[in-house]
Amino acid sequence: MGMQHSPGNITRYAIIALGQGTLPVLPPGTNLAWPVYCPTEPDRPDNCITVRTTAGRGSGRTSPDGESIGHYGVQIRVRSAEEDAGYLKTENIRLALETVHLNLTVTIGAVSYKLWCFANIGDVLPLGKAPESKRFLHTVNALLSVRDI
Amino acid sequence: MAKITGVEAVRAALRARLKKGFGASVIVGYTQAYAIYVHENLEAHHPVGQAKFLEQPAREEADKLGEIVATAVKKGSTLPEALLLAGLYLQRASQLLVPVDTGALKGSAFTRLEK
Repeated sequence: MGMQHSPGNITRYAIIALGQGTLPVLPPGTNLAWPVYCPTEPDRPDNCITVRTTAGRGSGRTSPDGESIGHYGVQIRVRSAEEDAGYLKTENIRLALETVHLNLTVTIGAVSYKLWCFANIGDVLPLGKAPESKRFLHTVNALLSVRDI
Repeated sequence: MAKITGVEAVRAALRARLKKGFGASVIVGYTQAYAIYVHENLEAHHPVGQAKFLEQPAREEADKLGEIVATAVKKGSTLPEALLLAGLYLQRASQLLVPVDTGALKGSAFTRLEK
């Protein structure tokens, strides 16, 4: 059928499935801890996670059917009111992503995806404070191998 | 049947050449303190350039970088020299994507041998 959601959105649901975030609920302000958004980061709450799709990496084609193999790039950005909370949340997400190995399926609407793994998971990158909001930012980047099922 | 001789000798010579610089690594980066913020901020719009100005070419050109290293070693370079060549190629590709305002960020690009 092919993917019907962006790698960023799939990663968003993976983070929720791994227990590292929650699905945002309306109205804003009534969210549970660490809501996860994709791709737009709202102004509230202070503590939130936003996932975006980035450039991936191709890995050639399989033999003999010529299927393209590749990994999708994702960036997970954590915003927080306190620096420690943001760093620890980002580190916990990083560690949780490392546990994914053919053992995670996420469902978005009527479509399910099998996550092979998160690869090339980078270190937690502290970005300092966002100039406009003075809240702390941390990111971690990874490559995702996924297939719709 | 045709027979090729001397292959083992070539392999041994290449292995010996690689052993000399075994463990070498090269860093490509930007020295400006705000470089990482600009690199990671996918929300910003840049009239010139884009975020992920290092990560994107590193992923897109990964095969090319490997090819540069392999070709250089085959032509007689040591592994550190070959890695530096690949690093300089990546630096150039990155500088074509880096956001430009005053030029300070673009000018702060570097490539160096780490060890």
